Amino acid sequence: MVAKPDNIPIVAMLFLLLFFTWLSIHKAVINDKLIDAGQDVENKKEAKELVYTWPDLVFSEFICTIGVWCLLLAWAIVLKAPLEEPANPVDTPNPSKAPWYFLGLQEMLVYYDPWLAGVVFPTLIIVGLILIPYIDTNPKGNGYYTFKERPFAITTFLFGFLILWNLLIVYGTFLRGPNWNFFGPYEVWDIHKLEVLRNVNLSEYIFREFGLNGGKLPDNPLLRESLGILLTIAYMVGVPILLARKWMKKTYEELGAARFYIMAVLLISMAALPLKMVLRWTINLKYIVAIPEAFFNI
Amino acid sequence: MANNTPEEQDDRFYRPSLLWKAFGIGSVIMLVVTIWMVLDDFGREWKAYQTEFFNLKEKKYNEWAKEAAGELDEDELNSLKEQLANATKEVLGQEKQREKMEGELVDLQTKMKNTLNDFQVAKGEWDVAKYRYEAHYGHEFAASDATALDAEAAKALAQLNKELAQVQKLKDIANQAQVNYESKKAAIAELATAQTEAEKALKKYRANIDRFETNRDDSRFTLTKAARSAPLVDFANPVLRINQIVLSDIRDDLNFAQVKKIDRCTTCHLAIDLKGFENEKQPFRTHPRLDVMLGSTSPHPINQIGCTSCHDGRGQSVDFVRSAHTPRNEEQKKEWEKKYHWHEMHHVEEKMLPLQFTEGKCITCHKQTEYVPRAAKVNKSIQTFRFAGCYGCHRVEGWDHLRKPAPSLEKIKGKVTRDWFVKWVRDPKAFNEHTRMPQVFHLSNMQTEKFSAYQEAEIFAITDYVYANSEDYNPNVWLPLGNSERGKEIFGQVGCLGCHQIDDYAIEGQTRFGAAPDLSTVGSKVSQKWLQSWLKNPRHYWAETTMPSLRLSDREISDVSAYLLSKKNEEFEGLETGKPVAEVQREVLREYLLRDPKLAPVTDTKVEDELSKLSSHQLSVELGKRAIGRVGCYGCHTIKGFENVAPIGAELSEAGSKLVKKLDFGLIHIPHTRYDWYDQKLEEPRIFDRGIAKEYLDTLRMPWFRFNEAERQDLVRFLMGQTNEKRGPGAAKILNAHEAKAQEGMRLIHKYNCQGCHIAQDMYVATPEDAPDYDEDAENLKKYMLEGRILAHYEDPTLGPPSLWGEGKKVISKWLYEFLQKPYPLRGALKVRMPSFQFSNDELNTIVVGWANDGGVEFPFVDQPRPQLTAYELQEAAKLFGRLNCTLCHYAGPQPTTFSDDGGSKGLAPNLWETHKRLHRGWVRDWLHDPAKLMPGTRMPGFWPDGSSPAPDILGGDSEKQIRALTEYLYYIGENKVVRK
Repeated sequence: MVAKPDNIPIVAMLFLLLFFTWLSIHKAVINDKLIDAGQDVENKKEAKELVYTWPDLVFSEFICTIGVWCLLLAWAIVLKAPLEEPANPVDTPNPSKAPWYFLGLQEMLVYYDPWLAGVVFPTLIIVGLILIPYIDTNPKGNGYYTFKERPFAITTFLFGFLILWNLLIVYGTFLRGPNWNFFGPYEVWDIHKLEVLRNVNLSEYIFREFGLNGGKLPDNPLLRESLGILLTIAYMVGVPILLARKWMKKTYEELGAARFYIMAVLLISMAALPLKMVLRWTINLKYIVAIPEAFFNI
Repeated sequence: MANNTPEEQDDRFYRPSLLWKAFGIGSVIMLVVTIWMVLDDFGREWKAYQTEFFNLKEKKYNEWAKEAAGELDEDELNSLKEQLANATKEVLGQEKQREKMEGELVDLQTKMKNTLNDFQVAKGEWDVAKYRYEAHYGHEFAASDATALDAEAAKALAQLNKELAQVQKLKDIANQAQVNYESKKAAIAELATAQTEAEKALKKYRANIDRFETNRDDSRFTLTKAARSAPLVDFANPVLRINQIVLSDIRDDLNFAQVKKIDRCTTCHLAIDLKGFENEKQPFRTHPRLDVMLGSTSPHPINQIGCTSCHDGRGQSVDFVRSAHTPRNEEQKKEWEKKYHWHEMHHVEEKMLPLQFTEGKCITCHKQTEYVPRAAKVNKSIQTFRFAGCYGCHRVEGWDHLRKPAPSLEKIKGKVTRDWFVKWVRDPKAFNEHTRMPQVFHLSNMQTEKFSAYQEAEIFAITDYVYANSEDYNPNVWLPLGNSERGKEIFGQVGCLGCHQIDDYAIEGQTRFGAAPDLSTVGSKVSQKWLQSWLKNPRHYWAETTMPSLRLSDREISDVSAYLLSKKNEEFEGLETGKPVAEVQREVLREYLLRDPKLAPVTDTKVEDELSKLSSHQLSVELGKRAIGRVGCYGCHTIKGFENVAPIGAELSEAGSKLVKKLDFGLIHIPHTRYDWYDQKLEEPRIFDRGIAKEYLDTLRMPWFRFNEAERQDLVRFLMGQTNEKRGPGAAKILNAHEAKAQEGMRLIHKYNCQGCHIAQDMYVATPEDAPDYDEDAENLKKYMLEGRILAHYEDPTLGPPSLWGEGKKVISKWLYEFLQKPYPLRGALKVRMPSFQFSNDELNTIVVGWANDGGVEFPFVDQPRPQLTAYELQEAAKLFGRLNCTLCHYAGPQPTTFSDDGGSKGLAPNLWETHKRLHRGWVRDWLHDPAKLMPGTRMPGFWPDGSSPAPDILGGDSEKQIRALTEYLYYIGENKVVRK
């Protein structure tokens, strides 16, 4: 499966990603040592500000063009396009998968309602990426690698990019089989494999499992979901305030209120995905807030 | 550009030399990769085949040219050559004269060209002058209504006319020059007439060779041809090119659009519609049946049917693997893997059908007829599907008009005993290994102790239900048993074998799926009284039966019944019937009730209540009803209480297009294809339950028919033709009004199995002896498998029932109607009898109208003029009648009722007194002309081979006159009751 023409880019990506992550960290460690020793990394060759367009930029780009040309041609000749039959409405592929680079997004659908996983989160990702230069005005690390000078930014980035984006792509590509079931690395993709689906909403936990209200779910959805709603508000509002007041006081002071709160909301939105995943795996939590009457589920 | 001064180099981010090196190496790699791309793109598999085919064609045409040369007569060729040489010599002798004439001819030609030129210039000028005149003066005349020209205009007109005269003069001169030229040319040609004639004669004689040689030269793969197909040049007019057939009437369904079918198979299969490549290796082999398929005179020319309409596969691909070729067996698969790196195309649903199933696709277009003309294999498939009774449980479009395939159980009480019934249902093959009844119980998915007990419980329950719902029947014939030996003889002679099989008259290799039951063990089944009543009048027991009466006399019935009742199966009779276990029956019925929608939502109490309401017999009957409903006995048998219940089988109308994914392969490891699944299902219907944990009522239900490999292949072929492909009027066989009527008649002929005895249709066409899958034994067996099954029992088929080929053209409808209503011995000496079918009037009409339409004859009334003979002709015809010895085989007068078995042929042919009321005159004349043409294998000799007469002294030896007179004479003796001996 790994050698299938469809999966070549993603396998290549795995190795390239590891290599470049290693490379950047490796360089960062060296630089950090220099910084610790009080030496000036900013004057290193790579960091200098003047580079000639010709030949340093254009010529090297041209050579890269040639390289890419060769690579694409050879690739096209050796590996046949993985074309399939014309689409057939009565014979849809199982599993139906998005293009490989969207499989991380598709994986989110397992844990969140489509309007969140399909609309809100992707929007937040794009908006967040656009906002980075406005939030992060720290000039350190421009033109050279360093970790020590900005551990928070790099950790957050690596977590978001490596774990939440790339790992989920790999997960979606290789470990999700028919019916979107989980399959181990060497497990046969048996279309008949069954898994128990027993996900429970938070409100059901409270009223059914703990017997509140005599085991009966309140008819009023707001009342029914009140705990979930409170928890969500606490998470979305309370945590940023706590961060500002307590855990990230210094950053708060550096960024100012507006920047910090935007950053904090983006940050906890990102953290919401792994949180929900853990809740799903540990206690089969379906939705924290479940109001199907209004198509609103979190 | 590179500046190598050290100061500037220091400013650079990269070392220039490094960049230049990278650029150099990169460029070389790019060049290599680009060349690789061009080669990879250009070097297609099919181009190699086309080049090879050029060579093959050249070789073939060369061979044929040589062959043609070999066929020529050496002497004649030489004499022609000599004539040519002589003529040439003669022409050479007149060389001087010719040279002179040719010189003159050149002069004449020059003159002709020049004068013609002068004429054309003059004419041009005149045309211009004419236009100017009309433009200048013409309008004035038109406007002023002037009757006379004014002076100026008159002058201009005079000038114009003068010019016209000049033009005409020049034209005359030019024409004269041309005449002179032509006559001179003819004169020169005349000098060489003899030579030209000789050349023509030689060329005509050598025409075949020349044709082949021209073709051979055209087939030579020359450098020019190669150059035309070179990369980049090949956009213009390459020699190696993709051939494609676009079919506007047959469409491919791409799910969201219907597109014209495009087949490019002929890109490699270059000789598929060319005669003469039958024994070449693929892909250069000719289609094995050009007479039916692809040939330009066949019913399916290649540009109207293409390839994938029948073979399936991806017609647009020109790559062996990607066009989804499918090997026909393991061996071929291995060969292909080695030779073509063949592998399965996983995503392609429409893979090519393995060859053994291809013929099934006929059905896709031929939906309006029950059988397909001249397609023996698919007809065999259709017949097997029919006789095995598959349509009882599985609906198939176009099969709804048929009666249930098995006998009614509405009066079963009067036919067989309860014990027999139980044992039979439990294991039909124990009673008769040739029975068509499938085994329903104790199959592979029922082998656990619990299920086995459940099955026993159901067998008794079904018996109880069927007997509780059976009417009484009282056989109305009671005769003593006669002579069994004589009975056996009668059985073999009168025609029982047209439909029935019996071990005493077994034919090796014949399928057990016939129109009627195998009777080898019937003595252990029915009572004497029942059997005799049945033989006397089958409809007394079962109104819907197609079994006819053979008009057996009471004595014959005694004999035949004695014979049949002696056919016993002692082993079966010795089997234990066993007893039902009430508790188990209760347990099984409980299972059914737990799922009964009427009891939903079900509780134990409700079920127990239901159960306690029933006595043990009632419980058994109730369980029987549910068991019948589950296993589907009513699909084939009429059972009271199941009149309007849908059968249990899945509809198969689109079985050939069913998505492989939708077939449940269970845990069985067989190739995932439709045909493998169907084959496996037919071989062991319950196998897909193997290893699956199921509850009793969820198990697979299809019974086991014990199909052998050939029968399975037949059925799978049938299923492969049941596709969802829509074929419109341009592609499908749409019957016209006559054909539709004929088909209606044909349906009844199939229904009553007339083809058990008669050959009535061209259902079978012999496989050519040089076909790759030709097998003589199989061929002989196949010959009488589809039609005229009884004829396989005759060493001399002319002693069996006659062929009905062209019956419509032959017989007069009125006679046919009366004959079918009340058959009588037409060929008295034949032992086999035309049965009395008790057709309804409606059926009789349908058959008669059907034949009339099939033969294209007038219906219903036919003009039968009195015999037209002069006294002289009458006398001569009578003489001819005697000379031809017609009465050696025919009677022409009253016919005895019994015939001696002396080996003579008297009475093997129809009484000639019948002719006038039975036969169309036109047919009789055609028949006398050439009997073998109308009925291959007939005993009737042709007396006028190739139009020559056997009696030169009668009617001037004119065969046409003789045939006419004899025909009229036959009508004369019938009408006037003239006895001839």
